[in-house]
Amino acid sequence: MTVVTRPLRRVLVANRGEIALRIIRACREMGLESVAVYSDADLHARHVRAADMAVRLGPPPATESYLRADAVLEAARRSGADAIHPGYGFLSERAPFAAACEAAGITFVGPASETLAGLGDKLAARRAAREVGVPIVPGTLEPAPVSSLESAASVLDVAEGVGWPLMVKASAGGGGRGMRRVDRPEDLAAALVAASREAEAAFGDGAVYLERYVEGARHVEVQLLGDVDGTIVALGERDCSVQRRHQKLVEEAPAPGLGEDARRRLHGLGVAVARAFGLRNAATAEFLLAPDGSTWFLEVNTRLQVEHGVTELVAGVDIVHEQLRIAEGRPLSSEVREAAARAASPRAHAIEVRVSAEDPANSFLPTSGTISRWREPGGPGVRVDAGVGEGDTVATHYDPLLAKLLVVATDRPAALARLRRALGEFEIGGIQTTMPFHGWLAADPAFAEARLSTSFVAERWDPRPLRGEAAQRAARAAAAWAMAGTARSGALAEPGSPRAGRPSDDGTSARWAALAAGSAAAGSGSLSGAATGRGDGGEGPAAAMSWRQAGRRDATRPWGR
Amino acid sequence: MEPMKPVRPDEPGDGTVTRASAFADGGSGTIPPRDLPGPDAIRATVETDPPVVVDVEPTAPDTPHPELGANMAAADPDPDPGGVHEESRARPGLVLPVPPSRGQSPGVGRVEVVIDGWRFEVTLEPARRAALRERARRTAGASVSGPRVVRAPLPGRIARVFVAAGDEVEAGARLCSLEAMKMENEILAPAAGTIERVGVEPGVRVEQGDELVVIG
Repeated sequence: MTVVTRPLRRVLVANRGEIALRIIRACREMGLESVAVYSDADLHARHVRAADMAVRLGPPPATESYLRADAVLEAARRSGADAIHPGYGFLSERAPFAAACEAAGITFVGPASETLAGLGDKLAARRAAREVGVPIVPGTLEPAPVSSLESAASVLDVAEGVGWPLMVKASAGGGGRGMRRVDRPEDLAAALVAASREAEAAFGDGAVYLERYVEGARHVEVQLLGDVDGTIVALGERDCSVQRRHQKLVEEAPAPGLGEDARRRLHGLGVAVARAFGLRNAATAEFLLAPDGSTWFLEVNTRLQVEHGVTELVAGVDIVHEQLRIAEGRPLSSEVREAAARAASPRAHAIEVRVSAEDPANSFLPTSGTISRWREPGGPGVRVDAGVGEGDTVATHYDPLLAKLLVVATDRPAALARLRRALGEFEIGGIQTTMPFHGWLAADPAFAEARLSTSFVAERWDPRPLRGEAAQRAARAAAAWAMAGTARSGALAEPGSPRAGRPSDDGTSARWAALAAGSAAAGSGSLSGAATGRGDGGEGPAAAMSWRQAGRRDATRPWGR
Repeated sequence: MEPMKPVRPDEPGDGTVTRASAFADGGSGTIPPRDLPGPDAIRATVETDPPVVVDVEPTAPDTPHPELGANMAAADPDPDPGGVHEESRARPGLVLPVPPSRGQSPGVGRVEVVIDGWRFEVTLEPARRAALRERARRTAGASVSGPRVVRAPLPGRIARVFVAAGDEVEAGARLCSLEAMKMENEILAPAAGTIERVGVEPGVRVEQGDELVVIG
């Protein structure tokens, strides 16, 4: 096979938030120009400011912006991009989009469109995995009939063979949608019809199948990379068992408790599935690890994963750099080959927590607001991939992920200690995030002992006592803070008194007086950063706004580097 | 001073006023009916449901760090003799001023407090004044529980509205449904009463905290 390398010059990043920024950073490090795309909601977003160019896609809803394949291709044409990196989500796993890129002569940074089509159909992936001898979760290999409740009822015999409880899954599914657990035969027909309808609405494909629900299983996945020469390697595995609603909250690498042989075997299974589909570029094979040690293939994600960073930290390679190199037609780098060779005996441990705009006391439902405070942790072994900063407004148009906090250390206990330390340094205000959950998890004895399963969160997370105790402390903290202000300015100033609102001599604010008088001066002094971040009222915010206006750049106009 | 004991309630609060000293955890107790808080005490009301109300007396042995609020780890005057005090291992709180909103009553300050990642909105006012106002209301004999405002628990889109102004509802009755992240969440009546006002209609987008329905 003749390999033609085609160096890239300008890469359009068809995504937003932390992953767009992460890819733009990789482009800059490799000397490539980057093009950001944005919806009207993201005009001032960090990824737009970071890129060399930016092109508007459309109004805020994803279906009118980031999900519009035609608009993204047009943006690539207008900006002169020769490649598109899709990130994760949005268009990343859509075979027709990859095919349209190929047809337009634009390099799609990811697997070939046929690979996306083949692996995107989970039933096809299950059949292929079985053919190459990879054990699949017991279940069906063809779509279940769901045209009516009666026809759905005919699946009952098959379901008895699969065993209870079982999962009904959408063949085109992902992100936890089109997925249902069924515990009793009488619920099966209704679940099939409902899941099929949900899948039809979400993916335009209502095909569903049955899969045994493996009790107490862990979710482990293998990071794969393949090049145009047909070389496919595994860079290591990750444990992603800490989930809610089939969506991951925390990931770590390597998966705790596996020996070198078990690791090597797991990596081999991932490579075997990838080889069956001729994988090029990056993908992840997902498996269930049952308590008895048996390993079952679930599916392949044909894209960069949210949690790729933990593998990077342990393997010591940059997966996005490698993706771009592969897209240029170059073979896997020697660093990646060497990292793959030692992947079964990792020498470090990395943990990632997803800091999302979700309320962990309210079923992790999404929250919105303006970030009044954002101070990231630092120090050795800490990495933060954030898509937002102080002053940004978080709406509910898109995925609630704000940032990923990653830590790496020599082993798991050291990584956990580092995680607790870094969480303590992370200051976020103005919006409720998943931080309380992460703080609890990092101190949870069962997590420390790696007693993991996909039902870990459902079984162990109880926010009520934690939040109740925190509310009591919040009352005292607020009052003590107000008193610290009054202590310096003298007696407590009643509103209307001459003292109210007057700054004290030593430059710190007379907080209580200012608060009580309803003055914005309460935010002055050492708290000015927070006040500025809110972006409404007072001098600080005005200054911040004018800076941002000045920093705004016109769509499609390239600017110098 | 009462012995130190960590507060470990199951619920955010029960609406009763407790008393605490500013720089120590504990010393809390329900205020006797006739006993007014000290002239320098501050009442902090944490806007949870039900709210946590604490009158804090300024008994500071030390001035805490200006930005960190009650850094109790640094100022704990009475470490637990049995070992490391529970509170001393806790991360300090983060106190952020909230810009005053229009219509905010004078003399009342609002701050946001983040403790262990939990975000609270807290109102602050002189405890003595709050206590006097409360006493005045009690002696006026008004058994005002007041109308209950049902607010959006999360941002989303109103899918359906089940009630109209004038309807009688039982506690737990469906008021409206809120679509968020492709899920429909039913909003239920917190108490029985008459619907005074319906502030939304199907199709409308709401933000967290927006008024949905008022029950009289």
